[in-house]
Amino acid sequence: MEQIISVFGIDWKLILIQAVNFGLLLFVLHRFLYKPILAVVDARREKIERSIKNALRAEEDLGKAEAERIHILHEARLKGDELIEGAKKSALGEEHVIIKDAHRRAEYLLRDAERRIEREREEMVEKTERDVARMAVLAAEKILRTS
Amino acid sequence: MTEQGIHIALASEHLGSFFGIPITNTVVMSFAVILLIGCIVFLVRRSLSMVPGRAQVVFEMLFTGVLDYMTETLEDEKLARKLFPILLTIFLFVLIANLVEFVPGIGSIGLFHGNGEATPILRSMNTDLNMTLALAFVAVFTVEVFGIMALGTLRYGKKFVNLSSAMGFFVGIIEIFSEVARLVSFSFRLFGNIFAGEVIILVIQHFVPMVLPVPLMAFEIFVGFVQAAIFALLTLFFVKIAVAEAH
Repeated sequence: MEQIISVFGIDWKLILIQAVNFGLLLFVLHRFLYKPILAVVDARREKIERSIKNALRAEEDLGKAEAERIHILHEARLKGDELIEGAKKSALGEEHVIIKDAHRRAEYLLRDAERRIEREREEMVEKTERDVARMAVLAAEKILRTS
Repeated sequence: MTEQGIHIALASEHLGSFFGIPITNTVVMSFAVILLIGCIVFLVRRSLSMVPGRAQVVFEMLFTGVLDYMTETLEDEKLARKLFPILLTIFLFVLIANLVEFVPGIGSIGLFHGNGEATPILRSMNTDLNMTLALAFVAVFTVEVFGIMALGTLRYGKKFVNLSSAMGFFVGIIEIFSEVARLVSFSFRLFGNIFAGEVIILVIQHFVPMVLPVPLMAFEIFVGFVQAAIFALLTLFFVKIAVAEAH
């Protein structure tokens, strides 16, 4: 044992000083290298995690907004179709009314005109009869005078 | 033959003492390594930001990779976070020390004594058993502390002192021996690998000073990385065993 110690130059003071050296290095590395670098790595990991979460949420929101947009569009189209349909229907109804009105009016006008014509014709015939009677009288007078 | 042979010393060389503390060339080296790591820390830390630069990416990948692996192994993120600094410091300390081993000047710049012999000021850090023993003590101490923290002193102690049966008692004694053996295996594995690499390169350099040592140096760099990883991984596995409930 003694020989081993002297051959290898083992000295507890040297072991101690090397152990202290190691401790010093451990302190320096821990304080100035491991901690800051691991802190940076951890901070970055957290940031990335948060960013990914945010991105996922944004994507989700986007999906929701898209779905809502489609829904709104669909609804609007439905409503528009309904409106157009309603307008068409009401327009058709009105057309009928107008046409019927026009027919009625035309019939009325026609009848009125016929009636007026009939009356005029009757007046004319009456007048003509009167004229013929007067002329007959005149003719008779003339014949009587000459004879 | 005048001082031509290779001089190999298992023990590190004393350079002097400072307030009664012996200063060897490996102690100087470990200070140099700490200083180097300190510079790297300063440079990386200066440009730390949410949007990382290249250096920051490298460190972040290393850290998160190690932390994820530890969490997977320990199956407990809190525990992994607690153990992480010690484990990574062991890894980085051993790795950087093994990598700077081949920087020119280390082992060749020294104090001359006049008679042709020199004491190098810097010597590869892990070629000193004191250093590897210190690291082994730190590792084993860490393992014990984490075991006690996870199970409590009594339940953790039951792994070693079990009086419920004769079988349990002997298993406990074997456990104690294996804990102590870890100190030896930790320290000698690292010391042996790095020291052997140094010696092989020294021997090759003695015969073929150029070109041939290069692939060996590359291999030794690989060995240095592997040893650093093994040291840290074994500590992790021993912690995993220590925090597990006794059977």
